[in-house]
Amino acid sequence: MWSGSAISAQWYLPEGAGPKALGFWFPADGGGTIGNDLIAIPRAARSPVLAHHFLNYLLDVKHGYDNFANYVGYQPPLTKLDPSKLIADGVVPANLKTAIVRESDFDKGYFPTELSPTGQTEWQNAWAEFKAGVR
Amino acid sequence: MSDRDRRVGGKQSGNAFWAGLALPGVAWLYLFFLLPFYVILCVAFGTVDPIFQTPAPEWNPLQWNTSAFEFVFEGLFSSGAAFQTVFLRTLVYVVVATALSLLIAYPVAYYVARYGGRWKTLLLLGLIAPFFISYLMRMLAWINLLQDDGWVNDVLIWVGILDAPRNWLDGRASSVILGLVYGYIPFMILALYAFLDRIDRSLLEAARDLGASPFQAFRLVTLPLSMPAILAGVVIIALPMFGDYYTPDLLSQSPSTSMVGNQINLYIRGGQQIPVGAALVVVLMMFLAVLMGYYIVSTARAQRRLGA
Amino acid sequence: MTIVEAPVTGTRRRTLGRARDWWANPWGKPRFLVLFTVLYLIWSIVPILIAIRFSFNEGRSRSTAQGWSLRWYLDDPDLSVRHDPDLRSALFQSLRLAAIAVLVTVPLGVALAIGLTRWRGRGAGTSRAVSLATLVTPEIVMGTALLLVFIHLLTFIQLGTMAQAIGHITFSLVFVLIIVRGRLLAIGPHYEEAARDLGASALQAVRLALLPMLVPAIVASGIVVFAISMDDFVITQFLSSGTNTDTVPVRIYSQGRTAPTPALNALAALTLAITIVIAALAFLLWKAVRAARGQTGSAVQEFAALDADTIR
Repeated sequence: MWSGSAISAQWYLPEGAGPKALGFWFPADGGGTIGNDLIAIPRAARSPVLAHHFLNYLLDVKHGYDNFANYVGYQPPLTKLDPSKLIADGVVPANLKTAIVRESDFDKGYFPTELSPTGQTEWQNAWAEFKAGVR
Repeated sequence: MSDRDRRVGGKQSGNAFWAGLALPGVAWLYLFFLLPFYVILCVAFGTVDPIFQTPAPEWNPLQWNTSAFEFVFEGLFSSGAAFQTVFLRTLVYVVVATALSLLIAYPVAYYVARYGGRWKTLLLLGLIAPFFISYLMRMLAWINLLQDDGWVNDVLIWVGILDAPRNWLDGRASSVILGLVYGYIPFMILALYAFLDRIDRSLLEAARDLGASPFQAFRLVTLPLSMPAILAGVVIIALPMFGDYYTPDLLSQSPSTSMVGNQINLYIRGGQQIPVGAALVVVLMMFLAVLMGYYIVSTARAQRRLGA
Repeated sequence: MTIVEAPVTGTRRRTLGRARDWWANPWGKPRFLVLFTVLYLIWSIVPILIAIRFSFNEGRSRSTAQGWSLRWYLDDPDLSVRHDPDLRSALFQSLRLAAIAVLVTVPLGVALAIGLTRWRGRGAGTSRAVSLATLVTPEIVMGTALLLVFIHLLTFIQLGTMAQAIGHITFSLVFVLIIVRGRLLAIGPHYEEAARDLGASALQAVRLALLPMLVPAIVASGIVVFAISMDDFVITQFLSSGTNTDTVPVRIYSQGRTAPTPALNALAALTLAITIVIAALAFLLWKAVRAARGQTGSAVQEFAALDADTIR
């Protein structure tokens, strides 16, 4: 489960249930799975300038924070959002402190990447063998 | 070919005219049918680009790389391996389905050809009707019937053969074979009919006049005369059946009934090892080449007999 | 020919003799074959009729009769064929490809048939063999071949409608070839020869003497190409570029096991209806042209005469 799902889960709780019911565990030494989404502007985009303006808008602290706190729950890469501020503002309940991502996590965390060509070949062959119904 | 045909078709200038008429069609087929086969060979004997993971076809036959074929042959000839299991299973399904189709199609075609009479046009219409109905729609009809709450289960329970609804759509070879038979049998019936229509009835009368019983007449006269028909019918449905993958996918989504087509589909459209898929296609074609060659030769011979 | 029996005693042996006579009579009606054929026709057509019946179901079931309505065709605001964009686009893509296939394949195929039949010389035999080869090639082989050629060699043709159309044309060409060639061989060269004797050039002889006689074969091959194109699955799926180039068979394949409603049945039934209507229209149009030209005789008979020559 990604951390953003844990944080946004508090908006889907039943009536009367508080965020105390939620929890998020991440390895203490930082050696867990970590990843990030991307926004990219295609080379053939029809409105590249508007797209850049949109990127600027999202990276603005005020709007990025608003987007995170009120809409998506997935943390934007803004250094101004440190854990104590997020908890103090009530955006993230205290028992979900481990769901807050820090820049340093990217040094120790395991980033999922594509399989190597050999890996992909092995994977596909194993899948083909399974789909062939070999007992 | 008569002299008159030659006069119309064979003169020096005339011949170029006919060749010219045929040229667009022939060029189309060379470009979009023959050439792609060469591309398949080049991809099968090619490599995979290490960075982009796309197939890199090898256009020069002198530099063809056999690693994809080695992989396929290894999977074909080591006992218990994936390709061997799938090929053998496909062979079994096709043989059983073709045999069943023949058992059903022959009496029907025989009846319509010999005894059709007044009803012949209507009967032919009934036999041709499945061509207008999409193959997938006919399979969809059977999915509806074979569902847990479908009519097949309802009828079987009502009659008393079953106590509870049985799952027909998950991993049953019988459902796949039923689908294959149901789907391909119209082709066989028409092929059989076309040939049986031509059998000279007087030969049969002569056999009966000479004292043969109905069964002897059938066994010694009709059956030998029907052999071209039977062979044509078998070839016409067995060849496409070998490449079928959608029937198992629709009527049984289990790997235990998958056919060669499923493996080809997986390798061609499901990953990076397209050369392996291309090699599988080439091997399948070599296997079918014997049947295909027979069909083409006999059709050409028959058309030559017809006066082409 | 009846078998003369020695006089036997007892009614039982007389009945047995009569039964044996009945069984042995080759001119009698073949009751078993009749029954078998009728059973086959029922088995062949009834599942389709059942599927069509459920497309008119009021409820969502595809296996329990729940009343009659046009809900899955028109009314349902999200899932009916009229309102579901996936189903609608599949129908239009099928029609689009079938139209292109007929418009290109029929002229190409007729020219090919006439040319191949009359052409003598080197290359003629090979061309004839190549033309027939598409009939016996499994579709998955042709689909793979076309997919690979469009990706690696003829890259200016992108996957999608254009590639699918080319695939359909390639696949259907042989059917036009067989039908027209069969008719051509049955007609013979006499009419063109007479026209040449009267001073016509080769082209005029073909256009004025031969083509009008080929019209029933051309119409029949057009209908066949339309039906085949609407039915095609493997080549269309291999050469598609996404859901917007899916046709009805591809949609049935992807939703067949998981379709929540009879809307899929409705789509299939609609496709079937359209194919039949187009075939009927083509036949009636040809009949009208015949009448206008003053030809007499049964149109159906002329059509039926095609079957004897073509399937071989």
